[in-house]
Amino acid sequence: MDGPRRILLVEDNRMDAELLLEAFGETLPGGEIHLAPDGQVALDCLLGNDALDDRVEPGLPELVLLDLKLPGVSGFEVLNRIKTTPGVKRLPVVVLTSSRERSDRALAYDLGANSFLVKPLTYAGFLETARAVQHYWLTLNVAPPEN
Amino acid sequence: MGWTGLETDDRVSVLLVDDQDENLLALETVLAGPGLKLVKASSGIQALKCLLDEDFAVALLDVRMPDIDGFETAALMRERDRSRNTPIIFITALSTAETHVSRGYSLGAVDYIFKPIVPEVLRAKVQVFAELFRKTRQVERLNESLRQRTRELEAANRDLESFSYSVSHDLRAPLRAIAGFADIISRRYRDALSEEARHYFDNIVEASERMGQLIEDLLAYARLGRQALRRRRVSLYELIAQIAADLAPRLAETGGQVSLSPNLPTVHGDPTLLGEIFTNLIGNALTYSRPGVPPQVSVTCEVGLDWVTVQVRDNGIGIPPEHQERIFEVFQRLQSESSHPGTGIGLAIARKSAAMMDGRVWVQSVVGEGSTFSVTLPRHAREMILAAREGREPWTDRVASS
Ligand SMILES: Nc1ncnc2c1ncn2[C@@H]1O[C@H](COP(=O)(O)OP(=O)(O)O)[C@@H](O)[C@H]1O
Ligand SMILES: [Mg+2]
Repeated sequence: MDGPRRILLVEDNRMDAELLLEAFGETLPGGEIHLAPDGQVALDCLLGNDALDDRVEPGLPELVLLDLKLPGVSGFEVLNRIKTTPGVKRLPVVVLTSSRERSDRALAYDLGANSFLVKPLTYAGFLETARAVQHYWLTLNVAPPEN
Repeated sequence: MGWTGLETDDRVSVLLVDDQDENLLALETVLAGPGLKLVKASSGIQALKCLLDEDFAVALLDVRMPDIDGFETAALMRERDRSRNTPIIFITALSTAETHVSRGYSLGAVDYIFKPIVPEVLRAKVQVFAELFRKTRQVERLNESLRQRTRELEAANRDLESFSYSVSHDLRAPLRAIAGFADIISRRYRDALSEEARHYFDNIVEASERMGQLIEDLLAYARLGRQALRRRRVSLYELIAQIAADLAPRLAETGGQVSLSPNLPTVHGDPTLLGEIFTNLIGNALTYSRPGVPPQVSVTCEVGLDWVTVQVRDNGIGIPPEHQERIFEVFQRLQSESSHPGTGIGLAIARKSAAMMDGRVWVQSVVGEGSTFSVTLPRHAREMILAAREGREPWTDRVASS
């Protein structure tokens, strides 16, 4: 694939976001990662917003990294909207959350999550996650057709 | 069986049913006293009305009454939930006794009193039922308060579990930041730090790792109670053999050996919880070994009619008697973090897991010789039937070792 490898990171915790951006910066030089600090911004980015009518970035990312616990519009709602909206529903969504709870895992997969990752506890863990996500989802994985 | 000292609350009601006022009055006179509340009804219909909104220790029914007689009243009482089990004493003339008695018993009469009434007999019979009723009511009240208490405890337990779950959950986010940014600094700027600063820095990293481990363990403990029990048929032999196999690297490291008794049975339990129990017990048996003495762990069992006890025995350092209860509590340990790393949650998890399956874990130990941790689990009727139907399981003696 050519062009920048774009990832939309949906993460409300500033520190987690910074750690992830650092980790992806180290492992994905030249890649482009866009941060949505809450669920509404994420939906606006992906689905457009008539009221704003100025989508932050044109075109869709290759991958969405989604935290589940978000203020306002929850990660589950974002996931559900993505997976039920024509045009974006094939977009791979990787859940990245601190919860390992059975009920969260069940609901996330039921709603169509493509993968479920638990946030690591160390920066080394973040680097490993960033490397693995990049390798699997942006390199090995063959992207779905755009409709 | 005295009348004195009864609180009004302890009074029990007795229903007197007779169409003749003078008969009611006679019954009332004989039975009057502080322990009984006498309720009079002058017809079967009126009696049934009374029975709708009150529980009676006993109903005294005159057999011969106009409209519906005593037997019909009894039959109607038996059709209603509230009065289905109310004892009935029929009052009947001696002359008609024989025919009445058999019919009355078929309606569930408990007793008879023949006219003319002998006051002592009447009083004695009614007292027996009053006492029975009082006792039953006491037991019911106790039961109810017990149920209430259980409900309260369960609610408190759930609160505590969800509290510790969300606490340990929310603690992870700031910890991730502390550990994460500390790590970035030590990766990128380590050389720029003085030796002293590096030392302090390493302390921060080490402490945050330790805290991470504590939180993970606390979370695992809290998570236990939040998940529904999922019982399956679990072969303890296979489960424990697998655990021993997973411990192979540690066995190799220590020169240790785990031997399993071939008669470890199949139980009906939650495989995850059973795994937690034996992983912790066998892991501890390897960890707390005597210096220079390779750990020998044997897993044996005793099978009773409706229970099974599995023993995990080691030849390790042992546990002083005064600490044998304490070690089952969260974060309680006897060794220092530097000599034997650990968080002190393992046995708490083992005990809670066993309790969730209505079982228990305890220890017998001699310092300097070794410890035996025992896990008793109830066996359920279903699994006993299955075991009997299948005959003996054809286990062979296998030894997992380095
Ligand atoms: N087999 C054993 N022999 C001797 N001491 C033991 C054994 N198992 C547990 N202990 C003691 O009980 C403590 C609590 O054990 P546990 O709850 O598993 O936590 P941890 O192993 O993390 O300390 C241990 O620190 C140790 O002092
Ligand atoms: Mg332990």
